Parts: sequence; structure tokens; C-alpha cells
Amino acid sequence: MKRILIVDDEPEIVEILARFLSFKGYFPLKAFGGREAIDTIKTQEVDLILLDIKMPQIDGIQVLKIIKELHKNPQVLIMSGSLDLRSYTQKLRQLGYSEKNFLVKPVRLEEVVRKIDDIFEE
Amino acid sequence: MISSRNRNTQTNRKEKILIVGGGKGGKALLDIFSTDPLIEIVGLVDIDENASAVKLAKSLGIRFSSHWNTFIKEDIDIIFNVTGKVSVQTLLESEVRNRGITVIDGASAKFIWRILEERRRVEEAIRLSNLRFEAVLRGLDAYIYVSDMQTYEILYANEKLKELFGDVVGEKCYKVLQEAQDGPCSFCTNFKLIDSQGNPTGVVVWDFQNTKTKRWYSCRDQAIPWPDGRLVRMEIAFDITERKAEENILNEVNGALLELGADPRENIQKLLHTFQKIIGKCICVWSREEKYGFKVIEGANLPPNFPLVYPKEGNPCSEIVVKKANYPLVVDIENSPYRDNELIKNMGVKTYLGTFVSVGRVFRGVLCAFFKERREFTPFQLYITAILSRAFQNEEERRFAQEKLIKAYQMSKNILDRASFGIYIVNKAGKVEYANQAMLDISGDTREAFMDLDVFNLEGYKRIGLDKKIRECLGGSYFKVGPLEYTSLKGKTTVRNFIGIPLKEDNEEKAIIVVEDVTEEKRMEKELQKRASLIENIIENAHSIILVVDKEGNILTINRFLENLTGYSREEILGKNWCDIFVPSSFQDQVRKAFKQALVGKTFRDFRAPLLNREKGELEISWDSSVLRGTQESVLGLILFGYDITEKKKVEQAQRLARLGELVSDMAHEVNNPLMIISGRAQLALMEEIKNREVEKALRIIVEQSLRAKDIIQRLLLFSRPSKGVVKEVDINRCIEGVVELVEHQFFLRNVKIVKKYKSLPEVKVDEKQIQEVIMNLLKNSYDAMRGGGTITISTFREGDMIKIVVADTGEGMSEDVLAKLFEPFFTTKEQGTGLGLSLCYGIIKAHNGDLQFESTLGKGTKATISLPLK
Repeated sequence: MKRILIVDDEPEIVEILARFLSFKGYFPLKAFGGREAIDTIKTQEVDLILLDIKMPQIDGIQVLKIIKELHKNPQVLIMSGSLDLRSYTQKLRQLGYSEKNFLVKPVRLEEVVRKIDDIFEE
Repeated sequence: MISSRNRNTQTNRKEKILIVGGGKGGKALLDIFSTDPLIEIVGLVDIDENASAVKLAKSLGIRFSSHWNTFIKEDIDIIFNVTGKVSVQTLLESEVRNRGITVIDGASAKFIWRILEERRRVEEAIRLSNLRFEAVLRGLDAYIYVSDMQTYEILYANEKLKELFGDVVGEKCYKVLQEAQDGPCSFCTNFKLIDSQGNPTGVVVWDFQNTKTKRWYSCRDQAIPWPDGRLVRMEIAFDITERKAEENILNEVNGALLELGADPRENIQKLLHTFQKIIGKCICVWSREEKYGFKVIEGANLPPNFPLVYPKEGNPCSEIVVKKANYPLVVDIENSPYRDNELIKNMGVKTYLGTFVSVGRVFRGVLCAFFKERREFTPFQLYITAILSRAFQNEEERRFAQEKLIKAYQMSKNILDRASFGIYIVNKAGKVEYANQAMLDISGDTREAFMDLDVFNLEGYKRIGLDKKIRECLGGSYFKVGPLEYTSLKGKTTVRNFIGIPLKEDNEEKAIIVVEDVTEEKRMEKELQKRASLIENIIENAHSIILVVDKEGNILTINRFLENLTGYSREEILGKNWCDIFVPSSFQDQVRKAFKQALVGKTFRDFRAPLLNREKGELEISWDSSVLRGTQESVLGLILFGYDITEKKKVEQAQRLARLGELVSDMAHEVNNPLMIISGRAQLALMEEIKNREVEKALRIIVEQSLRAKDIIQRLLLFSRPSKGVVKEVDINRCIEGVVELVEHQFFLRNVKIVKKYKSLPEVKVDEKQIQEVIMNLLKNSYDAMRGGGTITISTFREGDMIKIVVADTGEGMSEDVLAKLFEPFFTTKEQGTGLGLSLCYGIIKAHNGDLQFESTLGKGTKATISLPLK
């Protein structure tokens, strides 16, 4: 069972995604901010991180940078309310992530699962 | 006449001849001798009564006989035998023997009559020639005679001379042509006509008054050869008495004119007398026109009862005024309307002669003469009258001027005393002789102190060289100096103008010095200049438009800023209407209205109107106005201040849109999370088994609508997107065609036709999807604006480093207000519109470093122009 870390500063979103992913046969891990997400990655096995970008204190971009520094290598699916905002897209591209790693909220939950399935198939 | 010698020896005795033979010879002799006054034909003899000469003899009343016995005993000198018979000759000779009668035979007779016939022909020619010559001489309006230069005997006189002096031929010239001369005249010109060699000298011309007729002649004397070989005197004389008389009058007038002196009054009297003398006995008057009539000013030969004033109308003088007669007017009173004039009647005037006299081109009066008898005047007399009237006019003008001068002189002292500038008169010694009140006021001295000044030694004068100028002025030259700073003895400094005028008074050289105190004026002038140049500077260097126009809106001046801004030079637009030059025609009505109101006091502030530059480009200007007033507060025009807000407006719009973009994008994020939660919860709920279909449907709608909301937000974000999306080399025409294909059919159904005018273009690096979105938006807007159908024209072309895409429609167009807000998000004129379409387009084009512009005219259509850079 693949372990998926859901990171979002909005607990309700984390809750919804966790319930849907577990319903679809994944093992959801929950983090309600950047710091929590890093702690979880350091201590636990994570196959894919479902990451929000705009978060207080440590945002999604920083989380991705730290993961690289930690030489951790989980799959990444970025999900944001506004990817266009303040050139996040550009920064993500610089970090080596492309459109196939992006999702814009709100989204059909089925779409999330299909994206995750696609990533793992690769 | 047979010969002059015969005539001389046998005066008054005619030769008596008898012609024997009535044939051809007899006839010829009859012909010749019958008209000869010195021949008497005693008779004609022939046996044949029907001979040809017999008939002629009968018709001439000459006796005829068939035998010479009838005549032979009579007194006969010569017998002509023209019978041609020698027997007759012999018989005749024997018959008249010892009677001293010559018998001429036929041959001799024939010879004689031939000679006589020829002579008669010559004489006839001479006679005719003489007649012609005499006719010419008679026709000449000259007196001609010829006289012997030794004996003074008159050899020839023409008819005209004979008419005057009688038949004087043969008489001594000095006796018959001159009065009381016993010998040659002292004035005889004979000696002048021949030189010492005895040759003619030429023509002597002289004027001479004949002592007998008392008339004047112009004589031409000349020595000419007379037919007998001697030189004789010929005189041709013309009567010049009339001319001489006119000359005398002219001399008289000339003399009178030359005698005119300095006093015009005296001169006028003299002229009146001369006038009278020339035209004859009369009352001669100079009368001036006054309010009620003509007032006699001067006259010659004025009777004691002569009226000094006569009325304005009803007399010949008034006729002169009416006719403005510049040539003398002659009135025959009996045949004129003045016949019954009381005055004329009382004076017994029969003839009137008058001329118009003007002074300085203004009618002044009449110079006229009244005659008690009927008179006629020669043109010459009238001519002289005109000349005199001109001279008279001159004198009258002089008198008029002199009178004025005297008055002026009398006034001058008053004026000098009251003059606002100082005047003083200085003499050769440098002493002040006169000073007016103003001079004393300027100098601040008492009259006594000022009159005591020595102008050559005034320190203040020396410092500015005025002492020299005054000396020069006393020497006769004018000067004008100033404004100069002058410091008086008391140390007071003033600015003065000095004028020096040379004056000759009582034969002494003096100088009038005019002093003008311009201290205050100079101070004001400097102040004004300073102010004016300051204002000029401010206007010129102001970093905003300053435009001054008159009441009609014609440009009085513009500043450098406006010159630079528009590219117009001051010279080319001064005097033109500012509205015509600077305001686009669509704005002119609005601007003129504001302009009119501003003139009546409703000045405008921040009045936004476009300004056209030289290349007809529009600049956005904010105008303020203030009224330009002249003296007495009259409105002269407007001063317009303008601020170029073109850039500011663009920046403002861009900034406003950027801020809006940020706001929208922030908001989008905040909205998307709740939307995720809403749709997420709904999706989770849908995973449960739901019995109520309505609830399930409601949940699905929640999910759908959440995603739709996301779409809207996504569009908003696109509008504020700071960067292009996926960029690659794109053929713009193909890119547009991709959009057109999608809509063409749909548009066609609604009667909207798309016309494509593509030019081949180089590929440009753009986000194709975004550009297509823009084109789609523009096409949809055009389509919406053409409910009743129309045409959309899409043109593409290259302009410099830009690619232009123009989408023009024939729709309803937009008002200025709508155009101004076109790119603002959420601004829409459509019921179903989001107000994001064009702001999105604008964002996309700006992200491509391009530009999107709209032009629109209400009722005509809209044109959208996209500019994209090639690089």
C-alpha cells in the first residue's frame, strides 16, 4: 500500500483527500503545514507527497527544497489554489517539476487519483 | 503788245492793219490780232464772201469788203497779203506806194503769225502763272512789297498791302508806308540785307510798330534778285498787334507779380488793381464767403454805396460756389436769372466776371468784377484772369497762414508756461533768459536762482557733456540726448531727456533747451521690463503647455513646451484657430462649448481633451483656463494651461489593472480553498449510497458549479498573469485562421461576414493559445455589436518592428465613456458579460510586450488594433 503524505494548511482539505485516498486503497499520512510535512518525511516512509504551495511560514517550495537536501526522493503532486500566483510555476519548473505534477484546486477527486496512478505507473 | 519798246515810243497809238485774203492765213491773223489791245484791224478783204475768215471777221464785228478799194484810202500801217498771189502783192505795193504802208506777203505773214502765236502761248502761260502766284500772295495773311534798294521805289506790292496803303507801286516806300517821312527811314534794314561784297546776307526778322497804322508787325526782310538782275528788298510783314497787346498784358501781369512784396494785404490790393487794369473799367472785388453771404473784403474802384455784404444765394458769386468753377465764369446779366436781382439792378451791372478762390483746397471766396456795360472777353483775358486768381489765392493763403502764425505766436507763451516739460532759453553767454514753471519744478530752484545759473559751468552738465551740446546748439545745430542720469548741485539724481533747438531772436543766437524728467517713467519701465522678462521666462520654460488665444480662439502665443510637444513652430500657427489645429474634429464641438463658457467666466479645470500633434497623433491633455484681460477689465481671450497626461494615463491604467490583477489573484487563492472543500465534501458524499435522487443531483450540481467557479477565477488570473505561457514561433495568419474557422459558420448564419486581408508575415514568438483567445474575444465582441449583420475585416501587416492585427467591424460602435473603461475588469455593457474578456486580452497582449488599442465611432463601428513586437 502506497503511502501518501497530504500537506495543506487547510485541515478540512487534508481530511477530504485522506478519506478519498484511503477509500481508493492508498495509505494517507496527514500534515497541516510545511514544518509538519518535513518532520513526517524525516521520520517515516513516504511514496508520494500531495503538496499545497501557498502555506504560512514554510511554503510548498521550501518543503520541496528541504526534501532534496535530505536526499529523500518521494514522488510529488502539487495541488494549489493558484499556481500562477507570484511565479510559483516558474520556481517549480526550476526545481524540475512539470505540468504533469500540477493540479489546480478545486479539482475532481477522481482526477487526483488518476494523476497519482499515472505518476506511480511511470 | 508787240514789244515794250514799241509801246514806249508810240504810246497809246494802235497799229492799224488790213488783212487781204480770207483763207486760212487770214483766219490765223484774225485769231492773233483780234485780241491784241495794241492792234486795230481795219478790215478784211476777199472776193469770196463765203471764205472761212469772212465769217469769223463778221462774228468779231470786223468790217469786210470784196475789194481793198473800200479800205485803201484809210489810215493803215500794215497790209497783210495772205492771198498767196504775187499779182495781188504787186498790185497792192503799187497802190500804196509812197504812203509808208508796209505790204507783207503771204510767206512773211505766215512767219510772223507763227512767231506771234508762239509768243501768245507763252504769254498766256506767264499770265496764268502770275495769277496763281498773285493768288498765293493774296491768300497769305502777310503784307508783301518789293522795293529798289537805291531809289526806294516800290516795285511790287501784294493785294493785302494795296488794300491797306493803296496802289503804292512806283512810289517811294518811306513816303507811302510810313508817316511824315521825307527821306529813308532811320530804322530801314536795307544795309543789313547786303554784305560789303554786295551779296545777300539772309533774312532779317524784327518787330516794328508802323508809324502810319500804329499797328505792330513782325517783319521778315530779305535781299532777292529781281528779274532784271539787280538785288531788291523784299519785306514780308505779319500783323502782330493782337499778340503784342497780349504780350503787353502778360508783361503787366508779370511786372505786378514781381512787384509783390512781403505783406499779403498789400499784394492783394495790387493784384486787384492789376486785374482791373487788364479787364477794363469795372468794380473789382474780393469777397469771402461768410455764414450769410459774401462779405466784401477788398475792392478796387469801390463806389461809396457798394454793399459790403451780399446774400448767399441768387447772385453770380453763389453760382461759382455751386459750379466750383476753376475757370472764370462770365455772366451776361440780361440773359441770366440775376436780371431781377435787386443788388445787381441797383448797381446797374450788365456783365459779371468771377473766379473761384480756395485756400488750402477749401473754398474761401470769389474774385470778381462787375461791368456796367455788356462785355465780352477774349480767351486770353479769361486766361489772365485765371492766372491772377491763382496768384491771388497764394496771397490769400499766405495771409491766412500769417494770421494763424500770429495767433500761434500769441499762444506759444501761454503754452510754454503751461507745458509739462521744462523749457528754458539760454543766450550766447550761457545765461538763462527765460524758464517756464515746469523747468523750475524739475530743478527745484526758485526762479531767481535758476535765472542766475551759468549753464556752461554746471558740474552736472559737464559730467554728461551737456555744456558742449548747448554750445553747439547756440552755433545752430539741434540735439537730442537722453535719457541721462543728471545729478543736481543739491545732489539729487534724476533721469532726464534734453532737447536743444537753435533760436534766433533779435538777431542774437540763442538756444531753447527742453528738459523732460523721466525718472519715474524709467523706473516704471525697468520694473515692467523686469517683470515682463520674468513672466516671459516663466512662460517659456514652464514644463506645461501655455497657450494664449484671443476671443475667437486664434493663437496669440505658445510656449516652447507646446512647440516641442506638438512639433509645430510658433511662426506657423500664430494667428490660426487653436481648435482647428490642436483638437481632433470629434472633440471640437465639446471644446468650443467649454471655450465659450470660459470666456464668460466659467473657467475650466482639469478639462480632459486630446491634443493633436503635427503628425496627427493624439496626446491626452488636462486643460485649465484663465481669462486674459486687458485694461478696463475687458476680456481679450484665454490663457490655457495644459498638462500632458498621456503617459500618466497609460501608467495609471496599467497600474490600476496590475493592482486589480494582484487583488484578483490573491482572492482566487482564498476562494479556491473553500471551493475545494465544498466540492470535496460533495464528492465524498456522492461516494455514499444516496437514496434521494434530488440530493444526489444537488451534490453533483455543487461539484459542477465549484469547478465552473474555478474556471472563472482561472480566467481572472490569466488577465493579471505577469508572464507568457508556452512560447514558440507562430505564424500569426494561421493562428488567426484557426479561430476564424471555428466561428465563421456561426457568424454567417447571423449575416456577419468576415473579410480577411492577410499580408505574409514573419513568424513571431507568442503563446498561440493566448493570442487565439484574444482574437476570439475580439471577434465575439464585434459579432455582438452587429445584431443586424455586418462585416468584420481582419487585416494583418507588418509595420516596422511590429506586427499589426486589425479587427474592424461595422457595428454600433462605442461612446467615449465606454472606450475609456474598456479594459477595466468587471466592466461590461452586456447583460450576460463577466467584464473580463477585454481586460484578459489586454493582459495577454501586454505580457507579449505588445499593445491593444481601440478606435470607435458611435453608429459606425469599432476598430481594434493589436501590435506585437517581432522580437
